[in-house]
Amino acid sequence: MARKKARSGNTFLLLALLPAVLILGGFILLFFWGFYQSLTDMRFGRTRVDFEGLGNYARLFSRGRFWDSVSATAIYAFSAVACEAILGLAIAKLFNTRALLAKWFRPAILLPLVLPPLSVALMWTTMMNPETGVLNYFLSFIGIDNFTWTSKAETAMFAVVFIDVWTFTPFFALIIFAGLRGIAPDIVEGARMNGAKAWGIFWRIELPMVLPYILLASLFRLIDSLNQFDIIFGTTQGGPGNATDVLSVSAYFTAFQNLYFGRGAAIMIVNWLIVLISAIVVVKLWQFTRKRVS
Amino acid sequence: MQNRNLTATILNALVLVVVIVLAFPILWIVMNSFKEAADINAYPPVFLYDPTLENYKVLFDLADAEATNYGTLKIEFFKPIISSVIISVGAVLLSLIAGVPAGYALARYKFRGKEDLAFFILGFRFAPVLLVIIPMFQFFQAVGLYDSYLGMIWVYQLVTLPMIIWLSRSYVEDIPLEIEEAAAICGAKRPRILLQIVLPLLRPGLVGASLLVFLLAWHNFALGLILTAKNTPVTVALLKLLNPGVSFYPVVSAGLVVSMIVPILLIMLGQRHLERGLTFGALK
Amino acid sequence: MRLTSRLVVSTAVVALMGSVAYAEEFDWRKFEGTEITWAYDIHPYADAVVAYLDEFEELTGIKVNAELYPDDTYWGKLNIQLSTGSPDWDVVGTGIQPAWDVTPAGQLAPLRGLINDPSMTNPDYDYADFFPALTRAWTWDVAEEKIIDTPDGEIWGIPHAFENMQLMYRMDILDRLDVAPPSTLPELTAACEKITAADPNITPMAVRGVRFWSSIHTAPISIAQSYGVSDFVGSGDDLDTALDGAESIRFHKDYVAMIQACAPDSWANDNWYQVVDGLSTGKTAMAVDANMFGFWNNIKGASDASGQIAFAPPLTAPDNDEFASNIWIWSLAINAASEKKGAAWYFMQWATSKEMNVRGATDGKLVNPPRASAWDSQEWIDYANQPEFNNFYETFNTVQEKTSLLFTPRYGFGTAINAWAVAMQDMVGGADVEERLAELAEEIRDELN
Repeated sequence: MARKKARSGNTFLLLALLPAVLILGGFILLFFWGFYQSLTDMRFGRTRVDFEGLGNYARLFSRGRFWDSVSATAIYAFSAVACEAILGLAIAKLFNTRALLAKWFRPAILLPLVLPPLSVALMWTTMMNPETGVLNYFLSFIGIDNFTWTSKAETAMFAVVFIDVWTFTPFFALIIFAGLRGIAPDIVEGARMNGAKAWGIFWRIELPMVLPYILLASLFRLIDSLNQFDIIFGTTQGGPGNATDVLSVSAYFTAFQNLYFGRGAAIMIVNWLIVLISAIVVVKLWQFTRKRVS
Repeated sequence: MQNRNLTATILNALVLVVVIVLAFPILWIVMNSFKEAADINAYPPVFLYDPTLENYKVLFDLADAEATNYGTLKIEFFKPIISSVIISVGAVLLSLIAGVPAGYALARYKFRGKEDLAFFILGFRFAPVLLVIIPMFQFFQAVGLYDSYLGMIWVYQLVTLPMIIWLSRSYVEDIPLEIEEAAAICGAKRPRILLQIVLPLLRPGLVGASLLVFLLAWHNFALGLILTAKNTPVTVALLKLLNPGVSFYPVVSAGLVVSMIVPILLIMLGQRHLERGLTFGALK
Repeated sequence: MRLTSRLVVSTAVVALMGSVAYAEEFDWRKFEGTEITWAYDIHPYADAVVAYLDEFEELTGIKVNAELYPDDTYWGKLNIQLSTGSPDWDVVGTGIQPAWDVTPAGQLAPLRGLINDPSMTNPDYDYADFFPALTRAWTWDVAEEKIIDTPDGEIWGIPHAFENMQLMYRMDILDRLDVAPPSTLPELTAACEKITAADPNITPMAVRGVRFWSSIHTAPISIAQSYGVSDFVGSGDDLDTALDGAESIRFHKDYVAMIQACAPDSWANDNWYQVVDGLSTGKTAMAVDANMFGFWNNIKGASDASGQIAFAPPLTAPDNDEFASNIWIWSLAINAASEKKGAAWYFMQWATSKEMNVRGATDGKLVNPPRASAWDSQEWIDYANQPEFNNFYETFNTVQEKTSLLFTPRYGFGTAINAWAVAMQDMVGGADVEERLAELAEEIRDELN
């Protein structure tokens, strides 16, 4: 009897997982194929393809430009995610107060998420135009003239991170907001009775309790911003110079503009490994903080 | 008391600032879509003007051809919207059908390598799409999926399915196991338990998750560009507006506004659910 | 008589005359019932063909599906279609430079045999009528996956319409500010300083600055030629970049100074659409880019700039009167994997015929037409000399004599010239010209060898 039940359980398990595994599994072979191509000297426009082993990778690691791309990717992703976490926390706190407008305008938080990033990048480029852009018009009121945004190497990284922060801070705000709502009111009330100040409550109770939420949001955002292509390609294409030449943009140029597909594939694989490792670290952190909170 | 009023005023003012910052770029695009080309380039920027519908007429090919330099080339914008709706809705439905049972299994069953499988599924979310676009194109051509809705719906699973599985797994974990056990004791079979008890409890979460992945699908660009020809999604059609035949800033603005309508409608209809989807079930 | 019916009748007359004279030699209906796909950039050049597709279908019984994509994305899509050997696209729009990267692998079908075959090519076609600079640039041989540049080589594409690079300026703005159109690069820099001093709201000059080879192929390569700079020197396996040479350093110092004095701060983000936009809205006084942009904006009612844009040859080095102008040729070619090459060629020869050249041009779309006969035809002379086009026609004739493809034919064109565009951004941003050029040359050698 018990055996029969176990078997029917297994059948169900199989049936439940099979469609998803089949649908995604089809892609696996393609990824292996792509990985194989990163081990070759494949170029568009040439028929012969030779196996090179790790040649593309060795070449990559010996070039200064590659390491510039790695650091641009890291700077972009970590500064964007850090800003988004801090601002998201502030906005979540703000919308968690009793302010009347906070209740009315909560849906407005979602607005930045409705636009497709690639096409909206074009709009940001016009808004950020140093001479005619509306952003500099507003800045001129506070005495800043001709800020160069995406058009100069010194400010370009700031500008693309700014766009990422504008677009995805709401994502953090919503998750953290949910975390704040989940804190039982009596814990906060109890602390207050014991004489804790608002700041103390925030540091000792609220922040530790929403930390797992912040990490969960960071996980998803880190994955996306380490892979970010649309925002950067749509505004600076990786420039000026190589100022915003993150790995995904560099891979695109190498593979599809310069037609060295094997070399481009190697960059994609490295980028993927960086995301994978970061994701594992954040998942571990997340599991750790979640255990500690509960 | 006065102190309290002051605090409330400050808080409300801060909320207003946040809302303005978040809404401004969108408002600006909407404003631009009703401007003439000359007003868009004006500096200082123009905030008050006579709105024109010209850009929308160009977008839907109603304008006088002479006025747009377009001659006989048609801008296709209506059909791409329909295509995007079909592909995105189809992708979400398929993800729900395949993903919810998988999410349930990952939540309720213990088996070897479960966490590995879950992380592996999540891994698809950050897999490099550009890496597989060539083999994918060849495969689509070979089996006749190229430029078909079915092929697009399948390939969008890369974007939608991992999210649905992860989200539905966390929703299932939120449902107390006792409910299912009680039903089992009363003699209900598993399919019935799932359909009549678990699914209704999951519904609010799934609606939110669906809205979220719908947005992801709606925004996708690269896959549609490479794998379709006539059935292009709206993101590809938007870029087609960048050409020498139109004054593109105003017309692209109009295109962006139109492409926003479907997501905004969905957000208005399902705002609460979407928040739930966005928060991965954290909002209980 | 209504215009459309007149067109149909005149075509019928042309077709009838054709069939009377060459009834036995040429059969337009050989591929009746075939359906082909033609892929192209979204462009007025495409429009010039689409407008008359019905006639082609009537003449030949071949159905043509046009598949059009926006500029930046078209190339990515084209690369994938060609390199995977997909037979989807029969006729493709392309340019010479991209073709250098794909012909070594045999991705385009050779055309010489078709052109010389009287059963495939209508005797009126007259291939020799195209400007020699254009057809020469489409001729090379391929051996061991390398390009052998020879005038007797294979032909890979047919010019559809082309752009040559010119200085365009707003007469109204220059008149108002009392600035004469410059002819050397340092003169341009001086003119820009004068404009800025006179009216700070006007951007003196716009050129593309984006991080693609497309921003090198307009102003920089044309002006560099006058300084004695080429992208590559030598031949065969000894082809080496010359961008770290003394002439190149001199050119880049002048060019960088010009951009810093003339171009808007947004230069590094500016693509052709920002350049054209500035000129047509009167925000910018001058631009160096494809002459057709000035032409289109001069068409009556096309923009507020109509009638105000005048033309001049590209700028020169201060000690050299000889200017040079680069070309970009939108061309038609046949996908080597196409299964309908006959019908594809029929479509190509119709779209690039003498009649279609003149029609497209006088519709104000196919500018510049690539056939000498078009420029001699009274219809086009009358049209292009209308007052709103200013000195378009005569400037074309002056510039065309010194127009050629200024890049060196070789695989790896995109890699080298994209790197050049990146270096240009760095130098305009303040990097030391000499050091950065040395770095660029090293990078090109490293990537291509």
